[in-house]
Amino acid sequence: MQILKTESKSPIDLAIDEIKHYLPSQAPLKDFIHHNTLHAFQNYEFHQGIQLSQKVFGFKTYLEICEYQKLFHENKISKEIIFNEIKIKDLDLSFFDFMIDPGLKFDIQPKVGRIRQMWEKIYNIDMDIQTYPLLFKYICNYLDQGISQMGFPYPELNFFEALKSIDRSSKKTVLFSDKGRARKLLHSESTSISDLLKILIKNESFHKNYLFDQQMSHPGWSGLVAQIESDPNSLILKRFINLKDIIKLELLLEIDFLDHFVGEKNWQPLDSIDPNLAEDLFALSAPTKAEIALEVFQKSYEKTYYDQVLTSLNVNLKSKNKSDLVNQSKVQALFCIDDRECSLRRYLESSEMQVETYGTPGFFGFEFYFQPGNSKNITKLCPAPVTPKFLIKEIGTSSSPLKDMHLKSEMSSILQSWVQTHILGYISAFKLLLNLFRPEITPGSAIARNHMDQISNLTLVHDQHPFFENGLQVGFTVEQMADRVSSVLKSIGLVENFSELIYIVAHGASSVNNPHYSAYDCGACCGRPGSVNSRVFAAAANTESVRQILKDRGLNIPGSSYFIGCLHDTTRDEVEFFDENMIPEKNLETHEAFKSNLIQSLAMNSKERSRRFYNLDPNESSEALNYKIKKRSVSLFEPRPELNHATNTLCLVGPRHLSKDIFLDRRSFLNSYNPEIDSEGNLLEGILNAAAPVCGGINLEYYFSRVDNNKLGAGTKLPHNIMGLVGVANGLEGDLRPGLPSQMIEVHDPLRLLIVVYQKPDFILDVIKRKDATFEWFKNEWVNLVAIDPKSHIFYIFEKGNFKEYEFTSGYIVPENSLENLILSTRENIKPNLIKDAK
Amino acid sequence: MNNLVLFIFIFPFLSFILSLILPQNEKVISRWALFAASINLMANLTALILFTASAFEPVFVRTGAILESHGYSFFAALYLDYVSLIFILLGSSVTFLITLYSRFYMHSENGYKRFLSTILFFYFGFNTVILAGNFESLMAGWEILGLSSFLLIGFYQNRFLPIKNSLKIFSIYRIGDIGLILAAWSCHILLEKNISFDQFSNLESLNISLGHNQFLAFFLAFCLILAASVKSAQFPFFTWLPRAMEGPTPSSAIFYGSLSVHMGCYILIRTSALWQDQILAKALIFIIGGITVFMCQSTARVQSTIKSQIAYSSLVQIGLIFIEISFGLIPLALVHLIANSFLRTYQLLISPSVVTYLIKEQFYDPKQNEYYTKNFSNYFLKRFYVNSVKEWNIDHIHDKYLWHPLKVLGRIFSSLSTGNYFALMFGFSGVLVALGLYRPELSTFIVFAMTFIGLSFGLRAFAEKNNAIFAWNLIFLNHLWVGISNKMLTVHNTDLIIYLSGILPSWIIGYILLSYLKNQKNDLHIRTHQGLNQKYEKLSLLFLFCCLGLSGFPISPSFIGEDLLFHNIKAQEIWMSLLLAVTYVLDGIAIMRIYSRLFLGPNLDHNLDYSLKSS
Repeated sequence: MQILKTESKSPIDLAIDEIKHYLPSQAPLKDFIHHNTLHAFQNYEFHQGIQLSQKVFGFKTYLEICEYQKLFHENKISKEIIFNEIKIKDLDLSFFDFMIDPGLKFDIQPKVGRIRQMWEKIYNIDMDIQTYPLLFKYICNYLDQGISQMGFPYPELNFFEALKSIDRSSKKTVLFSDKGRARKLLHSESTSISDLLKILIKNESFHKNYLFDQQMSHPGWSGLVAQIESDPNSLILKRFINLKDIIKLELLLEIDFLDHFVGEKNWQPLDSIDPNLAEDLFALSAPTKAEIALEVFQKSYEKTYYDQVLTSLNVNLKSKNKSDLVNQSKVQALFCIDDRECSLRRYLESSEMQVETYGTPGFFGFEFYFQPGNSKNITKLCPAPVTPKFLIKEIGTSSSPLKDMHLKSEMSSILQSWVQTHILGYISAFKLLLNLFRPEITPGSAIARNHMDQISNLTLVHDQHPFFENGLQVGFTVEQMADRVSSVLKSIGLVENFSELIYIVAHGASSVNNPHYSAYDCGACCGRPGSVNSRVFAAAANTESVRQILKDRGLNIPGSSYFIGCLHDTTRDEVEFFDENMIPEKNLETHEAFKSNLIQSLAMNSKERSRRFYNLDPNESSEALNYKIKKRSVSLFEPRPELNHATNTLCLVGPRHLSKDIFLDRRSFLNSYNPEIDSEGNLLEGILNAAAPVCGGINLEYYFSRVDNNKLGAGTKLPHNIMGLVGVANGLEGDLRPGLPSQMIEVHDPLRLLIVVYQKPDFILDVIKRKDATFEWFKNEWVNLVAIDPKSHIFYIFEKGNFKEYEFTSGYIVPENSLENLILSTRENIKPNLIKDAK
Repeated sequence: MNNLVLFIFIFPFLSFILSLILPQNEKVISRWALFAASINLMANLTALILFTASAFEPVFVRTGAILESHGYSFFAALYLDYVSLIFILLGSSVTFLITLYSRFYMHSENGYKRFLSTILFFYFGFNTVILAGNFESLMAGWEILGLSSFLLIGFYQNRFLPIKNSLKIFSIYRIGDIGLILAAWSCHILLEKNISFDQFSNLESLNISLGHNQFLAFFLAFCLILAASVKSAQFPFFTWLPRAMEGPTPSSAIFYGSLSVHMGCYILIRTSALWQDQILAKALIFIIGGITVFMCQSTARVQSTIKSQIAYSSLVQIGLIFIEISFGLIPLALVHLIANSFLRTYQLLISPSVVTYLIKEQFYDPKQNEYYTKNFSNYFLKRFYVNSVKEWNIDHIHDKYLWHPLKVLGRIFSSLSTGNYFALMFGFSGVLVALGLYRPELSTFIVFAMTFIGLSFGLRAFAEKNNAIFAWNLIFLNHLWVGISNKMLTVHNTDLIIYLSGILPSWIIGYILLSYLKNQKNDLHIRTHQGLNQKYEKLSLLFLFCCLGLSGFPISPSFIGEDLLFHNIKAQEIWMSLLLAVTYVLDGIAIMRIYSRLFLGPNLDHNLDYSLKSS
């Protein structure tokens, strides 16, 4: 099959497929979801892969040597661990002196881009400057989702056909010259990419690498086009575009530019190119000494931190008594595994009610499309790879989005615009003044709680709404609900000792002036707040018939227990409850008590977060800080409403007591898991199949955006311009900037994710091998893995495909007395530590 | 009141100077900037009260003559009437809001201090232009605006596009500078004195002077309109405005949304006494405004990026303001202008919100889909769609008919070997000087030829690619030749001394700096950007000062010297003044080009830590 497929495609088509693989795969802004930026290299071992990407594309995939050296001198990289790594690499110990030599330089010339430089060398022209503006403009105008007042003509055609139609019906060409040969080539049906390439480059052996040069020099637009090609449904206004189209257009523009500005007779196809430039770009070569130094530094940097974490886990486990672990709380709460929920969980646990908390991916096992009341469109609320068959509709809502003429004004005539400018102009002076001094929610803000109308109803039960829409089943059957509720409860190990109230805490984020808003919401809900999911889960788990089925399956939820859905706004530190009016009267007292505990915990959470925000003083009272944090979330001038996943490095899979009294500084994803009820490994399999790509993807996107913010990140967001609502770019003529802006990653330490699983090593190995895609993450070490044997409490680390017992470097830690002192001590990252008094 | 006006003028300058010596500490700098902005605003409000109390009596303050030279006196003057009051109120309130905004917005950005200092510098320039009481003061402010523009557009010094665009826009601004220089010159010639703006109200005598040389009067109006069209991005210059939006959003908001882009309107309003009786000039303003409205309206409609859409929508309004001005509807124009300033500032500041807002709208309001995909007006499509997307090819026209010919001319000169070239030029100049001594009646021709040789140095510097030091020296030679030829027009040595007093030291220091760089094994080519400022931060700043000195920026006495040179040119020598103006403009561009190419841009030698050219 494989061979047949290759034969049917031309070499150019194959090359284009290969290019697509290496282009950034970032969806349009509204669906921004974290993923591994260098996913194309994931079939290599991590360091091999990122070193290759360095040589081929010039990506800077490590910190700079001087940064590592600085970290070493600040004791953030342990000398002992460096020596260990040097030994593992079979290097001489003098390599250490080489590494810390301040004069050590790292120099590399990327392979991509070399053929294209010939134009400048021979004809002394900068083709990029000339062709990009038009190329980008056409793509952007075609894909535009609503900025331009007059859209692209012929939007129903595919991009290239639409362009041809414009060219035909217009007096002016879409290219440069009205009478050139390129215009004829544009309309000729028989023109292929390879024909166009031949006009530009004589020898065909260079064609593939030339295309790489061309497309990788504007990876933003090319990547988005490839992404939309593979999933046209990611745009609300459907567009049909593929990478081949834009390659063809770009080649035509290049030919026409040369013809028009250099003169058709004054240039020849490129010839006499260095034959080396036709080589396979991805040929592996041995790492240089400097690369090895970077690799050793990076590994030691990670291991220094890992060792601190593992040591604290070890000390914590040894100090626990079995009797501590029985739940006596009146309240339990299910949170998303998100690292931003760590601290809130810690405060709730140490609050008066001693809430017991659990972590599970924030769609709470219910996968569906959601249709808000006033919309005909649907949005997916589950992890991105899942394709749901269900539809939940919002009914009985009265709200509709507010209008703001400053953000969109349809000027139809000059006179109207004249009048409008006067009216809006003077209003905007006041609006600006108001927002500077008293920031408030505006129609342009992205507010988590607006995702769903709190007082609306949902079409949860299929039997009450027995119909299908566009092939989607409206609501869930009782059986389907029971399946989902039980699988979530089992996966987190909550199968007995149910409390009186069980809260399902979804999360979302609020911000203003933030094109990347959807990256701040719940990753398990496709970059949306998880409010609908939590409400659905709670309602399903409260349904009598569902409980009956669960009881039959041996999962007995007592009648006295009640589930309540709610949404935690991680930016504003506020919580909104759903269906509060339906809470049984007997539970109300506990609910009120929980609320007051929660308000306190949210305020403490704000205080803990405030140490990261420059313009807040963490010494102020927690209530005051909570108020200020709310205010900054809607301030136009605040590019950091929250820090999202910055500093994430850990993912703990196990019971809560594993890390309960450890201060992990909001750096850990926490997935609850009870090894005792997972004899087959199915629960763990489900958890790791999601955790490795989701948490690993988040972690690596932060990693690469941090180490190379210029090329793999989006650079500073302050000058960003919105392009067609699909992406951001600098200025008018820049390429799209995928990746994360510098404001999101500046406090992030580039460390790979460490997944710690509370389960026997052989058992884990068996589970992760069940799915190749998951195993690749671990085998090639794009995430690291440690097992803790639940019986012996021995730690094992997964290296080169096998577990081996972990050797601690530091061995002990001194527990910290007061959490507050710890938080107030610094604005930097804080080491993992045991806390005696968690308040 | 006079003291208050003086304070309003001087305080921004002091606050800028102090901001330079403040430590690199965000809190200190931002507090100072905010304090300065509040003081400016309060002082202007006080002025408003006093002004109202004095029944809108204009205020005129002038220094004594800074330089007195054979009947020409150079002085600085301030003039405050209701127009300038409205403008400084607008300026100080927008600056205050933007400063407040930027304090937090710019946090931890590389160049936080540079940003706020540049904003203060900009405000000082803005203030100077608005309060200027004569052309000399106005020109000083004008230069400051141009420079602060260059600095803010190129705020991200190590990315390619901002650097490219900052130089491009600086070059276009220089065209506007020609307009202003020549306007000042023709005004002096026409009115036979260094006129101050308070005398504009004396219409009768003005009309008489303007009336006796109608050609020159129109030339004066034309130059003013040229300067205004460039600064306010009107036809045929409007493409620079969207390209200026490369800096942090608040700087685009204050500059290109609001204050800077309306300066052209201000110039027209301020000098309306000089053109309002010329039907031809009024028609010209009307036509420029009209074409801009038409072209920018259609271009705005097809913009799919938010900032360029705001820019073009703003230009439509400015075009309308030009039309209002052409009809003499000054109060209407002012009201319109203020509205447009605030609207665009606000729209730019909230521009990132457009994603959430419009996606929400798309999601909830399916009407949008129909609207969007509905059939295109065939007529519009045929005639204008491609033209609008290509922004009416304005950029290509500039390249083809303006910059390219200059480069071709430059290349003709550089096709000669350096030795031959100098031998030829020096020889020719020697002959001319000798001829001048024996045949004084030919002096006009000789001066012209000498200036032209000077210009050839400038052109060659403009086209130079390989050697920054060579280009630097050529620019100096250019100035020297201009100075010498001008000396032949007059008997005064002082003019030449003043002229060279700023240029000579700047040239020498610049030369030393460049030689030092060369000794440090840098290849000082200026083909592409080298980004040396990453390695030589202090040196690059110092070199920038040398560039300013060499280009006769108002920090150096050469600024006055240039003025004196123009003063020596007589009415019938209009070609001479044109040539001289072109020389200055070309010089300025060539100088900033050296700076930009050497010190700015991505530094490819610096590890892998650079941005792609396309970003």
